[in-house]
Amino acid sequence: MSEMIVIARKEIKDSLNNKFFLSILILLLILTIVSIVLGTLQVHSQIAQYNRSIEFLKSMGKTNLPPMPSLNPLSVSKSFVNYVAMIGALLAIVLGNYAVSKERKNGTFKLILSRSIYRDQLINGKLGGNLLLLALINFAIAAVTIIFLTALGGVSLSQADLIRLIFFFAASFLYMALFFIISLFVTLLLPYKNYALLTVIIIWLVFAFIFPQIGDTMDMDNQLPGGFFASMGLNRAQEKQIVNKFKFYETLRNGIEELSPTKHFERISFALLGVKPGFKNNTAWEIANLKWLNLAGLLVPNIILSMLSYLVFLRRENL
Amino acid sequence: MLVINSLTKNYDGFTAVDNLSFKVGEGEIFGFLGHNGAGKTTTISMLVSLIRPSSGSAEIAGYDVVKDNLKVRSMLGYLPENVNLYSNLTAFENLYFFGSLSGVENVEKRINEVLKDLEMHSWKDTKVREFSKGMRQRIGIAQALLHKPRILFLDEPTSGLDPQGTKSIRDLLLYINNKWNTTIFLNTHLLSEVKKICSSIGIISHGQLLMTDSLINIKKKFGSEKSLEDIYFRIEGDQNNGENTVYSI
Ligand SMILES: Nc1ncnc2c1ncn2[C@@H]1O[C@H](COP(=O)(O)OP(=O)(O)OP(=O)(O)O)[C@@H](O)[C@H]1O
Ligand SMILES: [Mg+2]
Repeated sequence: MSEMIVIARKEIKDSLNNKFFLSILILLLILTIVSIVLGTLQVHSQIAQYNRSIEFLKSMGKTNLPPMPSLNPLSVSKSFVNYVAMIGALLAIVLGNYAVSKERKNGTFKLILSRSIYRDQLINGKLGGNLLLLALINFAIAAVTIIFLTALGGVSLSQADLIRLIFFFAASFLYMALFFIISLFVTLLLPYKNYALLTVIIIWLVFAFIFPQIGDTMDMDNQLPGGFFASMGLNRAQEKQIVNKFKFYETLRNGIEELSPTKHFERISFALLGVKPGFKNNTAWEIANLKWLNLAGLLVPNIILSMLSYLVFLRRENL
Repeated sequence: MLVINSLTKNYDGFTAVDNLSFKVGEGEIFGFLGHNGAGKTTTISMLVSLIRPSSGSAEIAGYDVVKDNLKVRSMLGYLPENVNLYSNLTAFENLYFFGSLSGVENVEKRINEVLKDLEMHSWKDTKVREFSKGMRQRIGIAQALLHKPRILFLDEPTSGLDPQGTKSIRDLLLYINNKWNTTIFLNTHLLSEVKKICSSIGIISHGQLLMTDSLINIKKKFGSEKSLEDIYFRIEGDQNNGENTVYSI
């Protein structure tokens, strides 16, 4: 068996025996379920309200009845995006920190590196194991989401919906992977694990809250509930025209938001889950193409930081 | 077995290990004696090729610790100071991991063998975090033995243990040395430990080797009425006096 697989397996086993990690994971799963239940209740009450008003209109003798509002089963898991953005990132940060700090504290880096293996086998195993774990977590949450949506919501997901969900969980994996690698890299650089944890949490706060907050406050479309442009009855082409008039302002706003992986993740997710209107008729692939900049915003830092971690790992004498 | 030649390690102008040269024969238990900060850990780290020497060289069984580092590492077992292993995993899981990394064939069988030898077999499925320090140290030695190394490097293996725990580790080392003729390189600042199990010793101070010889010769040289403790302090004292003399001129 290759050394890399041995190390990857140990990483996963060790994390699954780690109580702190497990409690965050369970919290994330519970929140997933809660968000689906709450979302479902909301949809049900919307339907009930619609039915009541139809009854009322009928009793008034009206024949010209409003159509059933189109309900999007996926938007039920909308608040889940925020949970991943917060708790998912935290989970990944803990994993990245542990991957380095525990080996340091336990002296096990020395036990591993005094065996006849190469350093890159060690970092490959660490990256592989933890990324696989994050992928498994996303898979588990996806399964829970689909099961609860179908069981509770009573909605049957179309194939297109399912593909959108899968794309969404792929994006959420990329997002968590990024925070894992940020945390791993910072912990490698800093000698004390608590400094490292604090530093990464500050980075996370800036990315996940402060930058998006700045962006949101400046977003014209956010000035009215349901979207400024939609409530003005404008379509996307018209929206573009107007936004073009405020080019500098928009560029600045975008620039700030583009610095935030959380915003990238949100933009992809909201498009995929149909929270943000305007993507209803696109396939998941088309959305991925339209949102390529946001995808790159998640992928590119992942790759750059992995390479930097490699460099530090291979060059540092004392890990 | 082990040949060290002008081995030196500098850290930003500070010399932690200074021009060290000596040999350790096969099957010996070599006590590497020195006070805190003398350079013992730095020396061992170079020998197990965790860190690179700034200059000089060392060979284990004819293989250079830098150039043939993979080969060298496959022949040695190493227990660093203050090792805790993976506390969330059981003794067996820990050993399985390290055994697999060392490419041990039939790992499970080998783990059982070693655990029986170390009288730890009944603790196999207990998580390491529940172990006493002495038991953890035994598992630490077990991980170093899995791949049947020809030489063991142990960094203060009895530090933090009570007299009973210390004795049991001592007995274990003698047993290992007897049974497989494993060479043992032992870092310690305890003179009593060296006296009880080592066949030869080296004394290091401020990164420099003060002397090295067989235990018997050292006792002969310094007269049987002197304890090792006195010898240690006399050599160090001589050196300090020497320095003082130079200083006073
Ligand atoms: N990475 C490093 N960078 C700078 N100096 C170091 C480094 N590692 C060790 N040293 C210094 O080298 C000297 C020797 O340290 P070493 O750990 O080898 O001593 P030791 O004999 O093992 O001591 P102890 O009995 O305390 O374990 C010390 O003064 C230490 O501060
Ligand atoms: Mg030391």
